[in-house]
Amino acid sequence: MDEIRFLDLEVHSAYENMAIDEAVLGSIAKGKSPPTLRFYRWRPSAVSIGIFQSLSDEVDTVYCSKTGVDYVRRLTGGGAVYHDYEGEITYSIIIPKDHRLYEDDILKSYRQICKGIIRSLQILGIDAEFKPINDVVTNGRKISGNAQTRRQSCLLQHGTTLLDLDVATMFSVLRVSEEKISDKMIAGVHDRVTSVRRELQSQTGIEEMRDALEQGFSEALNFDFITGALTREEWETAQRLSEEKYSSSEWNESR
Amino acid sequence: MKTGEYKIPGGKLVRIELDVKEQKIDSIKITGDFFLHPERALEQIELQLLGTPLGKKKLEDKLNAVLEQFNAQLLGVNKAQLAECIMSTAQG
Repeated sequence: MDEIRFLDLEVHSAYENMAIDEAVLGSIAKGKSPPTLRFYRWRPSAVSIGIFQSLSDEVDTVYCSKTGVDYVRRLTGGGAVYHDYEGEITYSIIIPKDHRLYEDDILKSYRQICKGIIRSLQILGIDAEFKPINDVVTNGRKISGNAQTRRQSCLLQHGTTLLDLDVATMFSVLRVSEEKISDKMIAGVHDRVTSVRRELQSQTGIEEMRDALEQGFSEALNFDFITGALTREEWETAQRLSEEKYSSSEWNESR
Repeated sequence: MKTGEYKIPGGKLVRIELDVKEQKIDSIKITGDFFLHPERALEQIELQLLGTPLGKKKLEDKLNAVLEQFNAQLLGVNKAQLAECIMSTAQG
């Protein structure tokens, strides 16, 4: 058991969330902050896209602007994700290269960190397993997606676990042509993606899910959580990155 | 401009936008939901592919060279598959 700074469930804009992840990574890289686990939600609801994705290919930005859904490019690879404010909790874990959890093999590393999600789901009563490259599935359906980057001698992995699934909104914000949004396609999504509420046939609350994630990450990864907060420098860096990078079209439309 | 979209079996999606001049790559953009560590290697891949003659071996060698420069790792698509995507886009 060793200690990790725990930044308990917070709500931020998409830009701030991505900026905080980067600011924390930068601070850990400089030796100014300890290994950190964050839980966060997105308000307004938002789409995040992978660092190599084309914004215009993946996101209906006109629909997003009209309905107040933000969009942001992540630091990490992987696919486009709709982060519904009511429907999911995102985590990020950021550790330096000399940390016991750091693993050179990227697939092994995903498998290792995803144990936190799998344990959390088990606590809620859902049997899930890791599915390479970067998913956690239950009964063959994806319930959690994860993405990782390594930079400045640190590893950052963030990921989302679905509490509920709003397929209609998901299809409206992600770029799928109108004619494809048929009942058949929505049924197709339900075959591939699921959520905690659907698996449990219950109205599991966000707090219950937060509790399970806290216990699950702590148990599976052997961490003592030290509840903390961002340092002043991290927060100032995050504010700057949020304004200058993550909310800029230069970054978001760069591909 | 030629475009191609490929779902790698057991892997990720790769999209290619390509201009070819005299059988060489004149411009290229690679997008998709794959992983590449470090991420900054992708811009270098696109840059160093410019002027590369179209041919699977030549493309694969070039990709390999850039990946080695950055000690980079691809996930969800490998260099042979990426070369294949570029060739298919050029031919399509």
